[in-house]
Amino acid sequence: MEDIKNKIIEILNEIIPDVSNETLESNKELVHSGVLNSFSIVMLISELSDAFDIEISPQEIVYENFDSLDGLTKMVARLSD
Amino acid sequence: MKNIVELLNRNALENKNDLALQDEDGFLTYGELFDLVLQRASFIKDLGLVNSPIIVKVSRFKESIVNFLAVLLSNNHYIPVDEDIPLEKLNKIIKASKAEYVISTKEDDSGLKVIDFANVKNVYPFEEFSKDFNEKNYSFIMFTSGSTGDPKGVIKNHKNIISFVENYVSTFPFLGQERIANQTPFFFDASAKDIYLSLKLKAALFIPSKTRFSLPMETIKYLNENKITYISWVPSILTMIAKTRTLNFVKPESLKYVFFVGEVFQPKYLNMWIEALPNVRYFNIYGSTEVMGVSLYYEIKKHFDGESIPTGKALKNNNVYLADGEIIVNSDQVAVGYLNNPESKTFEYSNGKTLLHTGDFANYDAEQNIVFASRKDYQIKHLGYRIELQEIEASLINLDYISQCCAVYDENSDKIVLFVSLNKDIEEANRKILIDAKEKLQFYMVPNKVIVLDELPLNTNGKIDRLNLKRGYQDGRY
Repeated sequence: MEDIKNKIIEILNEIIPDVSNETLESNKELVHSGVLNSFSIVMLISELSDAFDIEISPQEIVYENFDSLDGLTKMVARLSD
Repeated sequence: MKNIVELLNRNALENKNDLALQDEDGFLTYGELFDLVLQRASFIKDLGLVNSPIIVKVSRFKESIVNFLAVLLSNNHYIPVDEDIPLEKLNKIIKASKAEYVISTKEDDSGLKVIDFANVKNVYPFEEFSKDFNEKNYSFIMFTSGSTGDPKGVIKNHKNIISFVENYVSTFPFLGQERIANQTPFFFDASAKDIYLSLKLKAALFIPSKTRFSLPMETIKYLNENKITYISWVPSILTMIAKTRTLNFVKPESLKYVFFVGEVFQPKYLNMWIEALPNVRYFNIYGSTEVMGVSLYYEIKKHFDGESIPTGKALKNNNVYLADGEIIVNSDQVAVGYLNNPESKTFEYSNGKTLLHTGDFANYDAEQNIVFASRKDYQIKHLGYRIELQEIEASLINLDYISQCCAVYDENSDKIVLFVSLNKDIEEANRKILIDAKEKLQFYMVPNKVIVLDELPLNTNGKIDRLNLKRGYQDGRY
């Protein structure tokens, strides 16, 4: 789980480099607050799919999975099983 | 008609109880909208303002449109800006426009006189305003990216808007009292189409919050909940919905018309829409800030096999042609001109007509459709926004630790890549530059990636070698 989380942080640092790791790890509302927008979400989906060799279906692209680092980590863990 | 607000007056008389505007907070009928606009216009009139520029800070709420229409009814013109506009940029707009007043929903730190509608005293009848209507009066000034680093103001009058709505509905006569969902922000020129077309069609205009567009399932849910029939959106959003294969799982059930505008739409993503929703009609429309609305359109009727979707043929009462490959527009929709820049070669004034030299280069296809090919300058379209790469450079070169900078656009990844060289050592330079860039630039102009080099390569003319940097990024050298 920790490995997955660190890899996701690494990817997010690439996509939204101006957002600090503290903000990411505080589990704030990443989508609701606009930290992740439509553009960065598309990049994130493609990076996550490549890095973890998973397929993220549209039903997975919801607030529950994308609004926080924890949500992202859990989704990736579940899909990589 | 001499002022576009006459349409609001008509709608309030004929369709008083019909839905006019709906945002995440609630709705207004045409009757309610008219009353609110009349109150606010009266308040502006009592300030003694006539034919004056008024800055309107906009959000994604119906408030923004109420304010636009109130300014127009009061025989003044508005300058729309993002409520989160960096102060540095706002100051440039204030200086260029000499605006003294602002309407803002947020606390305002610009130093302008704030028009606060909390205490409306007098309400004048519509005729008190309409006696002074004049189609030559300015309606709004839209500031767009300028290559010098200063934003450029494009002036439109009432005649421009009136011609646009009339030409648009006569080109697309099947449009009726649609339910329209707005996507383009109100500080962006493309949004004016939604606002004034809604008035013309007596349509209901829906204003979803920004986050509705972050997750494709949410976007479709919104369209279905509000039974949206018409959208005129930038391809980035439509691409995202297609790319995530959302349409395989959920479809916009009420949608009848998809217009897309502002940037190139890759055929493979449009085809995914056509396959999922074959009964919807799809139109590529072409315009620029220098024209009210659009001047070219092309309908895609079935799976598109070509490489790029044509921008097509002229809208009714528009004369659009190529001169030495450049798209020239001649119509009453062509803007009045640039603010403080009558010498610009973009607008050509002859025999009482205004010709627009768009700076877009194009070809004709076999069916005489105009097909966009390239820009003559470094203007790009990113997420549907129009950006001069040189404006990014001009703003960032002022950072004291940057010695050279060059912004390039990689179409393949949709990224603005900034190359810089520094004059001193800086910790986490990439992150610092991006944070500073957010202070100076609007969000859509902020580079997506920063690459620090010891020195930027120069071409034989001694200028930064833009092409080399771009190719180097694309083939992985940088």
